[in-house]
Amino acid sequence: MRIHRPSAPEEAYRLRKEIAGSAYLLGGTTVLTLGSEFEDLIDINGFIPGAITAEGSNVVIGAGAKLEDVASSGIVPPVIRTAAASCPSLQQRNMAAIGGNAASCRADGYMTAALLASTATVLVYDGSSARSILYYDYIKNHEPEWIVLSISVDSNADGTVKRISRASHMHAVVTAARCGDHYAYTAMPSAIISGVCDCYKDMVLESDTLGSAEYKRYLLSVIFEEGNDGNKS
Amino acid sequence: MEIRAEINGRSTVLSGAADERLRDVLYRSGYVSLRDSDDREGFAGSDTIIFNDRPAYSNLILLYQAEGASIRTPESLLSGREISDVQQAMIDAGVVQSAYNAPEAALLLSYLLEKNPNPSKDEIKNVLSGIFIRDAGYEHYYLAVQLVREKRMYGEYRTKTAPAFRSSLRVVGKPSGKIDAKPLAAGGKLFVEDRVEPGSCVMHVLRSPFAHAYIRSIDVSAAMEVDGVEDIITAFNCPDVYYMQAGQGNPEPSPYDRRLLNRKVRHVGDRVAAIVAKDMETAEKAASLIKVVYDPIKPVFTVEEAMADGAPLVHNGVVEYVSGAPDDLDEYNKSADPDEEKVIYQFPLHSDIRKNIAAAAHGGIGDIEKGFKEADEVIDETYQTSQVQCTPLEPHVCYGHIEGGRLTLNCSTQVPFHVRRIVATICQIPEHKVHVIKERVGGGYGSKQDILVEDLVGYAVWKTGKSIYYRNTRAEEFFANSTRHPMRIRVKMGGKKDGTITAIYMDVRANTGPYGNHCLTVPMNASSKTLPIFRVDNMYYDLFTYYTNTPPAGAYQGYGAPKGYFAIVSAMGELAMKLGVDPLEMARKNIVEKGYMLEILRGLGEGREGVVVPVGSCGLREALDKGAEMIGWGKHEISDDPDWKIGKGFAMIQQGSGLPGLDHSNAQVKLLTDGTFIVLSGGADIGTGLDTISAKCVAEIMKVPLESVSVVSGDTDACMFDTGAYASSGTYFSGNASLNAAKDLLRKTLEEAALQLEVPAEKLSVEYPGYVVAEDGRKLSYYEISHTATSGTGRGQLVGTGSFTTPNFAIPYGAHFAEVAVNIRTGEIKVRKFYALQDAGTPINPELALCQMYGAVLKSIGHTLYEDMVLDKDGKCLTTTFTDYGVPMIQDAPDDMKAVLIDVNDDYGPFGAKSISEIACNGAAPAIAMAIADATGVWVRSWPITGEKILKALGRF
Repeated sequence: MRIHRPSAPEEAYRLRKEIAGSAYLLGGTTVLTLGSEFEDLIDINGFIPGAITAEGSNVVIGAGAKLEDVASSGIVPPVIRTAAASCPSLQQRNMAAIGGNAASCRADGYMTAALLASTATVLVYDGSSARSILYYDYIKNHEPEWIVLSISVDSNADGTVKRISRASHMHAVVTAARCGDHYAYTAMPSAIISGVCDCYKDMVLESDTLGSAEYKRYLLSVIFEEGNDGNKS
Repeated sequence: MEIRAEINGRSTVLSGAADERLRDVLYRSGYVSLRDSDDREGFAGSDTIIFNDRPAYSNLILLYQAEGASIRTPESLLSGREISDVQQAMIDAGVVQSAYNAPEAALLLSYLLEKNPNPSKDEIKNVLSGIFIRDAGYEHYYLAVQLVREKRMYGEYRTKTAPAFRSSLRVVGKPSGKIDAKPLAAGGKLFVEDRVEPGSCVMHVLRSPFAHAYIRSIDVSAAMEVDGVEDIITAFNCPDVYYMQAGQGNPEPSPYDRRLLNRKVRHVGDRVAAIVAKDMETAEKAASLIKVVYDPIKPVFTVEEAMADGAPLVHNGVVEYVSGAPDDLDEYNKSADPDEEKVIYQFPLHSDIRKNIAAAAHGGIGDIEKGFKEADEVIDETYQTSQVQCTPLEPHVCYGHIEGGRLTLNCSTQVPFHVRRIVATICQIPEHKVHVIKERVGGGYGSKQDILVEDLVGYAVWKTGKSIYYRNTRAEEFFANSTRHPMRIRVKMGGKKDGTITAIYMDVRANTGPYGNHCLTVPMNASSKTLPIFRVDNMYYDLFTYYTNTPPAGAYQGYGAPKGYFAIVSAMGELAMKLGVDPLEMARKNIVEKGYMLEILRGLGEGREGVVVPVGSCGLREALDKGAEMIGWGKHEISDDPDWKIGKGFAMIQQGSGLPGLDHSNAQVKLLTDGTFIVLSGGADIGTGLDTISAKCVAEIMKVPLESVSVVSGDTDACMFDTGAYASSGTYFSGNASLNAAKDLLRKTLEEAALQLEVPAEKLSVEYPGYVVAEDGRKLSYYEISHTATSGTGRGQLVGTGSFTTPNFAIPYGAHFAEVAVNIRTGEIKVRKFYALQDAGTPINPELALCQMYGAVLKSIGHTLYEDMVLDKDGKCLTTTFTDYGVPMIQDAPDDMKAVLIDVNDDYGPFGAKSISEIACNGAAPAIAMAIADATGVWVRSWPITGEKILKALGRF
């Protein structure tokens, strides 16, 4: 394994572009775990911020902030804190960076649904400049070389997130989040959607080791059904 | 590269490759407490360090990232050889058992207590949230923290670690901590991996991508050309020796249906070639160059597929019998496939491999049909258990080398003497040429009763003369290790309106996978450990075990009993519901009591006729009554949230204590020249405290402090034969052997003292702390006696020898109660309360006994609700990580969990002791299933009981 340690986004971007099959290394809980073997890792910790700051009506979370910092922050809105805290292992929370979690766009990502529901924006470096885009757009349109620098959420985002898994440390079968009238749903292995309350109906669901597609569709339909706020259980 | 970091307060230089995992570098640098249980998954926490003042997994940190870091390892807790108060409290609380990641748990608790001297339960839960404990559960970790707080505040513990039993005894029945616990808690060099010498070779196994295929050819020529490859062993150059991997008494009730490597692969992950090379990179490169020509065959994965007409046959070679061959064997073998290896039975097991039947058994008492006719209601349901994995934190591992011309194997095994026998057989050398050393075992749970890696390593070492280290990957632990036999159990049960059960019929169909390890004994336990708990006149069972092409099955804590209890107690609950009878009352009405003759045992002899004995000591009724009171049986709980339904369930349970008539243990006790003692026990302590039991037997009989006794165990050179630590035999068999050895030593010591004091031995007695006292008041210390006995004119060192075999049963009984909450909208399941009440006779190590109950219960909750090995359509296991597979962690433990020891005294166990931990696996599944049915009206009859199954049964989707 070769380690590259660029000092700026431009250099990191160039390396990622040039080296096929390389990956960015931030917290490491994804790319350094079992089954994730890369010949080249581009360590971006040297320039990625990790601070959590209030900026106007938003909270800006450096992509390098650890999930434990996010979960325990006094200025991060509860829906985001809850999502970060849903990573069940203290060691994982101390190591996993929110930027890595967001950038991986996984359907079982701890942050995915909450960031989508809260209409978070991400500051990304796209090879030419750093620009702010909706996290939803990042998921839809990002290129592998893009670098998430920070995440911005409305500090008054009021919502809830619900993660259903068979056991505490297993992958989530489904995750659903709501902020105001904006909803987001994820379902393993790869379904992610954001929009109105019943937008889950447009998800293409698959059966896997966690459960059948019918089961997942049912769960998504009841988490925010009338009278429930997702956290009732 | 070199980096400088502050490790345990000292500036230290670490060397290695920049991309090397920090754990590997730290281990190599002497921080040997750091281990790898999950192949860098970031799950089990055996690699936990404090990194820049935060708990982190050192396996997920690369060396270069540690430049300038502040690192704390568990070694930081030590002061010289002294352990910390946290480590001591963990020992006193009983949680230090197999202890593979106990040092990391101690580090985490120490970290927490430094931040907050009075942590809450939630804070303790949080700090232990990233560490997987399989053996002792989590409950006594809270106790350990409490003990530390008390010791720091008051200078002493104010909370009892466990109840004490038998006031007349000094150490037996008293919490004392395991005698080997300190180095385990400290993180010493105690495990197999710690014995590996620099420069040793490694072994890598090339595994089959097919579930069922002939191997037509293997070309290893290119692989052998790779520099650093020492040897490659395949089906075409391995010894033509048939054996089986289950470590059972010889002759085994399992077929010899394999060689080291076979010309037919029978599951995805089956052995194809074993490569011995200078390092893993070389071995893997060589493996990639091996050319294998497979001829795939249609596989079978389920019992239903295996028993179907015309099903592909997993074994179809010539069948032989060592004894008891049927008259028509020649005719039977006419249809054998010449391309397949043989199957050799030691004696008949009612098998029919031409129908995929590896073993079968039948038996019962009374008139089953008459019993059903007498019933007011009959239920007839089928229950299915899934394939689950033992998941020991230390994977299967072996280090072999040649020493003095002999083959020496450092093993993590439950059966060192079976390892010696089987490896000697494969190598075709006498047993005296093989030395097996059982190291500390980082979790066994039955899977290390099977010789799954020692056979290959042993042969490779003997063949090449090289030192070889082998370790299963975590994925291999799932697909190439033994698992619980999946079973389909049909139970037909009839009962009267007054709750009397009139008849029980069990039809057990077990899936043994590709090989017949324990193909009779494990499935037999589904009936042999369940039917004898019922005082029912008409009972019968049929058992068939089928070969399939799933990952292998074998021994797992509880054998078939957890599955049998899931079926039979669930059926009883369903019958009670149908009759409108309280299931607890039905249980009370139909359970055995002391003195009841167990006629059913006649038909449960595991391949031979069983012996009828009466029920001995029995705390079953007390366990049921006490548990019912604790959980508030009969009181319906209602949640404030209408989505959550609360229900209660229970299970009455039993197990055994070893295998009377089959198991055999031996021990010796030596009086050393200073008056202290060493026990040489054949028994294999796998973390459960068996060595402590041996030491306590000696301390009690010789009336000396426990500190005066050390134990060497499981070393086939130093110790005498023992069948091994399985089937709950440790305390009863190995413990009784140590007790008998101690009694023999006492007799010899008195005889020697009689000669030295010139008085008759019968006028002497022993006195604490280690004297022989004459009636006239004269006394000799053990030191004086031993010194004289071993002098130039002495009569020789005093050595006591004891063996133990028995026809008598010491059956532990118990009752487990569960309260669950089920969300009928989302299907979420919470086990709110779990109470385990067990009669272990005299618990010799009560704090360890309690923790084993907590561990076994949590394991069983995992099997019931979470754990599941899922195969794809081609037989490939899809769940090969902890996260995918789903083991219970501290967050999954019930909020209210209690283990209670019911006080009875057994007639046959050492000091009245019986077994403890296997039985604790039997209750969770039926108790939880009944509680879920109580809450929702839905009986889920298959493992795992998931929200999806409940919701589907409720018609939600």
